[in-house]
Amino acid sequence: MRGYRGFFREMGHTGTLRAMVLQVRTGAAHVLRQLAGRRPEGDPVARFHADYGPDGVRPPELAANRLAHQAEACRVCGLCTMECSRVGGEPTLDPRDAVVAASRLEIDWRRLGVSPGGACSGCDACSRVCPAGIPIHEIQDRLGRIGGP
Amino acid sequence: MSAIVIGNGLAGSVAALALAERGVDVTQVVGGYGATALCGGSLDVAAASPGVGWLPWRDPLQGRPLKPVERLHLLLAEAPTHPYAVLFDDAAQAVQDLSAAIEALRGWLAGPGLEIAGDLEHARVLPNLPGTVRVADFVVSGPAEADVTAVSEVVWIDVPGLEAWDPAFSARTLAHELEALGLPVPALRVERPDWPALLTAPSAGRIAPRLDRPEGRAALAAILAGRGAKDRLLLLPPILGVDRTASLVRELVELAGGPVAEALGHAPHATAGYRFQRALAQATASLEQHEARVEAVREGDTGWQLRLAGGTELESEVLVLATGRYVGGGLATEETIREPLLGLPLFDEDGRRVDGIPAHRSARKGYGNPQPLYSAGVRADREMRPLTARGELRSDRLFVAGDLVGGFDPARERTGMGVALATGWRAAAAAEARLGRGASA
Amino acid sequence: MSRVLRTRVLIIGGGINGTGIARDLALRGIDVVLVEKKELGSGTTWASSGMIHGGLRYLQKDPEVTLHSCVDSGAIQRIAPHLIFRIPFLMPVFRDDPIGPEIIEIGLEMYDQFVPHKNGRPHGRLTKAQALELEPKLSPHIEGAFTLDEWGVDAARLCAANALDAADRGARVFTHCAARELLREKPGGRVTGARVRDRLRGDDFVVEADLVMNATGPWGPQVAELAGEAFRLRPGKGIHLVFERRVSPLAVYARGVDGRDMFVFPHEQNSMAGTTDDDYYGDLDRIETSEDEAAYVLEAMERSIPSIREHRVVHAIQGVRPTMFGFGAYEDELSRDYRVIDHGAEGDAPGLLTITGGKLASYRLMAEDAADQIAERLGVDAPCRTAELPLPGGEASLDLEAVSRRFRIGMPAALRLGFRHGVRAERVLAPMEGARTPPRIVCACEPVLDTELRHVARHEGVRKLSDCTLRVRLGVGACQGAACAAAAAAVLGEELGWEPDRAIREATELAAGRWRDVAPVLDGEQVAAMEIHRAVLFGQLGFSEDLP
Repeated sequence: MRGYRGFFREMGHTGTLRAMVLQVRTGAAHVLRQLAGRRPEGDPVARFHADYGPDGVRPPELAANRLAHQAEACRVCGLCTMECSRVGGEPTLDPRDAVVAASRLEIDWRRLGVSPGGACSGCDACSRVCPAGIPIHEIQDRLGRIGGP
Repeated sequence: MSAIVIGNGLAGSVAALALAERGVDVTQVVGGYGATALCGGSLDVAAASPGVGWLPWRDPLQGRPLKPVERLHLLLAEAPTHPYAVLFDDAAQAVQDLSAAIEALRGWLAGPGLEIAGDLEHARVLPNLPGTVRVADFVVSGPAEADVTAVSEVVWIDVPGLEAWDPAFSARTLAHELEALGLPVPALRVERPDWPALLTAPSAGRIAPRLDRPEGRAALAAILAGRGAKDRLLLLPPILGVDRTASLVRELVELAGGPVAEALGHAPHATAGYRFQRALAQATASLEQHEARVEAVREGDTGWQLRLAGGTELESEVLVLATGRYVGGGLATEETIREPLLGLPLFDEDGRRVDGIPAHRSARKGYGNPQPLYSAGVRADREMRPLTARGELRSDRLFVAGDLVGGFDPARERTGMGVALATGWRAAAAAEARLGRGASA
Repeated sequence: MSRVLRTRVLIIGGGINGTGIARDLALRGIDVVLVEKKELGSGTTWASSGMIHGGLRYLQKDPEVTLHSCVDSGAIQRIAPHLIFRIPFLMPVFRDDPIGPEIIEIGLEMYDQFVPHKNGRPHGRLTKAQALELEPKLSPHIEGAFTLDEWGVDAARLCAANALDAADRGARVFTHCAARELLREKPGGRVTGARVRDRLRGDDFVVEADLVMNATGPWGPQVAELAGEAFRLRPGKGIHLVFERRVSPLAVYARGVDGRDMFVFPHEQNSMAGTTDDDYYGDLDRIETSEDEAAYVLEAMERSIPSIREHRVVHAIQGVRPTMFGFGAYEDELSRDYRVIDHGAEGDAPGLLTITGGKLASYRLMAEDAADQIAERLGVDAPCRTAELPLPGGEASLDLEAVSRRFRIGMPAALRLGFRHGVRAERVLAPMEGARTPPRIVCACEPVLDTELRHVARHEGVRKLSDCTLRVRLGVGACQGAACAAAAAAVLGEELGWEPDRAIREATELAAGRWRDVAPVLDGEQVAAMEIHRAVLFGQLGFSEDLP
């Protein structure tokens, strides 16, 4: 029987009386609630967002997640910064910093202070020289759109 | 007579330009930048420099740095798996080939306006940005005239706000290094001129392009005017422009009244490497180029067929692979190491097979120890034709060049640029010879 | 003649236990000297999961333990709000799990009764679709999932904060100083202090103390041995894999092939996966991650997050738990309990105490207990105050936007500075107020500012470049110090008066140390990153002398 004994093995060996009482009480309440078909109120996903949204935890948006995954490849070589500067770009966030920020996309991007567009012209020069093939201009574009007011 | 060259670093560019010059119909497949764009600015053809490498960098009796040609002799004698040992019978042949390649490169870069100083008879002692020194052979415009043993006084110019740099400490380190190495120590100091907002940025790579523009040049000229002297080197971080550095330096030298140069940078501030890569890109711009990832390579009866991302199909009689190592993408590393285009077998400097096994198994303890992982690459014959695991020719229409060629560790030996030059040059010559022999061969 | 320091309590070991006890004693007005043979927190503390959890797994043994853990987690949140962050957990349910979802939920319902003490949220129960909505990387084979939450902490920084507060209140803290001898009143008599070797200066000093507390974790038996005392640990090695970024904003439970629970969880700006628990018999000063440990962790993670291998592992961290000895049990089943051993009562070395066992999450409680025992022996009647008084930086909250504007630093730098230093970030930046140029970024990965390096050298007793890896996370990002080692050595060198050769040696040691942590797990993108690392630090800059 998988169940109670398994739980014991999982959580430790010796049950003190206190633990036993707590388990029996909680277990009984659980069974009664299950029999009555009652679940905690509300949609659990909505509750998750309400609980953890204020801590900055958001479910990863698929497109952003893909970019963040590509940004993982950054080797901090600095070529994007030089190329961006050569073509006259002055984005709010240096391309290298944008890549670093993107790889932390889930955490702090709203606070990066990048305005829409972020003065990045979207010329794509940075991505073309990147040895790791990171779509840096897409990241810039996204940070600009996300970080805006 | 048609050839495809995959790669746009030094090796690929040299191969492509040399083939084009010999009248071959060249197509170059280009991609992101790689190791060439990350070099510090010196093109070292022979091993050894203070601190690194197992070969001496100076004459033990006279104390002077060894000439590049002297180090070439030593390297050929001591490193049997090094590509040079494969390429050359003796130092004389190495000197001949390398000199010819450098001359050709100088010609190709004349258009973009980048110069390469140096020769095989003289070594230069150049400062790195943090103040350690490097014995350099050939040097691109910018750091070229930064030989700190050629002057009696070195003045580091502070660029305020530049990240990852402390001029006072660089000056102290340089003095210490030179003294410890037994080289003449010039007088060293730091000057902190009023620095204009126009030339202020956190990284050297952001400032350098501003010096390509007239207002930037004027601003730096105003700072340096009259500050120099004949025997006094004005030393800057690597900010001296991207596309017009040779003329900028000439202008500044004249205004300052003495040598002006930049220290050798390093990633992520490898401005001189980036400058060099830019010049190569301009030199090869007149060739037929395709900017795309190579998706598939196939050898047919009469030559090669390539499919690029986006669907473009290319054909040629011969193929030169100059795809680099890990940074360039010439070797793939997911789960195991492999050469992704043709699955060529890979060997480290001790001749052990490294493809098909996880990278960390070729990584040894000890940062400074020989690392099989970083000497790994394709094995080739004298014509730079890759060999199979059994030592047979893979194809007589296939050539390799640059870091993709294994048997040496660029970080330990500091010969990455020299190998790129020599192998690119040889691959082009051999490919042309193959084309000349035609289908009958 | 060696220098002699006189104190009431000598603490040997600057991990979380040693620094926690030092702070506790200092707050009670007891004079303390602490010696640490390397950098604060560089042993087990640095290798921990960095979690202040509420003790879910102790519910089965004793709900009291869970209650204490939760209450104390709440206390740490109050005293160090800047150093902690909430980690929501997803616990996926699989058909072949050894225990069913109803049983798990009963456990979580039990836990729910305690989590308000640590400001936690009640558990949630998700269907498969809901779980995949929250984390699309989860395996399609899950049947559902539970949610709960715990708190993460920068353990090395927590350690430093305890030491800093102790020092603010009169304690003397010496890093890179190792106890080489324990002094006795007479042979076999009372332990009266220690002879200490300053490993950087190469000279000795003597600390005379009424009591000596051995808080050296897995090194405990070695230190006790200096007094001829023997006790047994069953050291358990644990490794973590550190990913380049946060693989998920959530922590996800995973199960090892042997049934052990592991997690992949947010840690600093990264995710970590782990941990393992294996008996360790090797050299405590040279612990390395092995290929099979890394493979074991990845295999476990793969069950919950099938795409885990597509993510870039930057390096591993490894350490040894000072688990108390138990015979015949599997490593995992050994108690995470702790003990304070009085070598006077239990052996022949009065004056020497050892604290051993325990876990990061309960460090403050352990320190309180140990300090109570010490205070009692010293006849000091002062209560513990470590649960009420904030740690340095936790005194108030910090307006990050204002700091970013005022000192002209970007938000990424402000965020990280605020995380590490709390409200004291303003103190770190103060020397740059009105400066001609804004603070320079030395390490872009983290980021670390030059003024922060100067601050930790001047005000936090940092003595080596590699200390900064723990203190401010220098060189543990994607490039592993390739971009910053030389510059950081220069900043620290100017501040600490290093000769250039010392600075070069420090940068070299940092580079070599990073290689040690990276090489065993080198794969994928990191191979190219380390190619640049070697080309820059070794090839270009020539950092190669005396490579360890």
